[in-house]
Amino acid sequence: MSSTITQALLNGIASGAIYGLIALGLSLQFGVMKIINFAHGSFLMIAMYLALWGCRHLGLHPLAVIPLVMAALYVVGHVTQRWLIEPIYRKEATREPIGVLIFTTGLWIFLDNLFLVLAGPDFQSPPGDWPNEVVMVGDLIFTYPQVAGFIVASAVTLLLVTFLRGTRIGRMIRATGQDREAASVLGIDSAAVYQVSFALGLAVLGVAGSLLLTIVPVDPFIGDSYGIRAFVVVVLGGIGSVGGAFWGGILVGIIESMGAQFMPVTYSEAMIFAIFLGVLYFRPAGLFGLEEA
Amino acid sequence: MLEIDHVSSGYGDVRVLHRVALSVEEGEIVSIVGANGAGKTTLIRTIMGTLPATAGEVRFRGERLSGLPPHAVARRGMAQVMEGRRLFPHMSVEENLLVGGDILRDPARSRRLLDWVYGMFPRLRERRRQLARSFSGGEQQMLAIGRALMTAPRLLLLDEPSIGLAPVVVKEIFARIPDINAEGVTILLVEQDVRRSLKLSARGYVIEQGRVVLNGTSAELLANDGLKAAYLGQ
Repeated sequence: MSSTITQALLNGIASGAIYGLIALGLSLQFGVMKIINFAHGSFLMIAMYLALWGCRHLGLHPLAVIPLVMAALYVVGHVTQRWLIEPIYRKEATREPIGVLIFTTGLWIFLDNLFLVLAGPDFQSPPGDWPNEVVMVGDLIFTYPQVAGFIVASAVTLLLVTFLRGTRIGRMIRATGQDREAASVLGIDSAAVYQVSFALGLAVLGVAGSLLLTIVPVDPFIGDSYGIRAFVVVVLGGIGSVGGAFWGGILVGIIESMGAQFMPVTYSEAMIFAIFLGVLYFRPAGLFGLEEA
Repeated sequence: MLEIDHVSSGYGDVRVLHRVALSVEEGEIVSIVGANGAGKTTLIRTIMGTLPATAGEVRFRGERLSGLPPHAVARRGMAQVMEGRRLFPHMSVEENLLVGGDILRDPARSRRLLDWVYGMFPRLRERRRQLARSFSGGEQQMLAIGRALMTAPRLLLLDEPSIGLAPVVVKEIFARIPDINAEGVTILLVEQDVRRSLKLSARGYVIEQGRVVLNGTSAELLANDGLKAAYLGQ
């Protein structure tokens, strides 16, 4: 393999790990609550603005803002679930939650435009040179954000999977996702589980947004393209599968970066969505066949 | 221990239960028998709070349950083995059981309950690492009962434990019911298998079209001519 191809492959894996992390929360929310959160991209955008604010006004390093953004997004997630989604969900207990889907679509448009007013239409990046510094390994060159993004995204994915598999709360979350009524007659409060799941999903998105800001600048509509991509990743990885979302992200990252070696970017974007449609048609359970959340 | 005081309930505009009244005393095994569609599962779901009662009230250990969600009812010491087992398909046998113990927030107690359940159904221990969905119907039913027992219930609601199972397996599972009862768990058994269930319990209620039409000791019910003709094929 020539070093150009190796470089493209590794670049793809590095950005793919972040795509996976962006999709993780979406997959968790869908797996547990069976709701589709169309505002996911807008929450990503909010996470990026919060990270930017931390870097600019608190003078923090782009990586040091992560715990802060994570905590803030956890609170945003809890409040959104408890006070906005839950009341709608409750009223629709006996039918498919279509109202929630329409609500999150409205929230998406509202938040994007709110930030257009608050932050203006410009593309903004954190101050400092750190994002442009590089590490050289033989012929290969990586930026600091690429390396940090890959490590942090992998670690957070692993942590979340371990949490879901190995702890009491994780087990209650999985049980509720697999059969809500069976879990509730065992004493599990599904409303509380939904609050934790939604908040956890957004906390992870907070990490992803902070990492993404070190690679691309933020603008009020950044969530549109990355949010849609998160849906592709979730479908590729298997809807509801947290581990699958990670591998789905890596796959999209590789297609994008390798595709760019051989064809214009417009084509590789089209190819990602063609694969997305193909997977939906032929393997609706996803490519990796991993178990559900 | 459990009083169902003229309870009505149903789905939407369809009323399934009509002023059902029955009671269960501490330590008893009580049967509710009736044909398919008589409202037995609806009654269980109304007791548990999964379905709201539209009239009347349910009292459990002296407390009104009206309006409480199922998880709150479960935490007061009631457990339901659901019709159709409803196991968590992507979890191992042991994880399914541990979910049952999760609300106790007491790992040591969960451990003891786990040993108790394994002692009762040794096959579950042998296969504890397997996925629940790989099980036969009988093993799934054992797991469903074991999972409910992991909540350390005072009252166990068993909804159609015999459904879809071979007679030899039903016999094996029914043999455990008196053992569970002997450990201090009161049991309300809902069944289509009238003879088998009445033989196990001291008292019973017969439900038809959402109404209690007959009640008495199991011996009386088994000797009742109407019941014999309708359910026992005699």
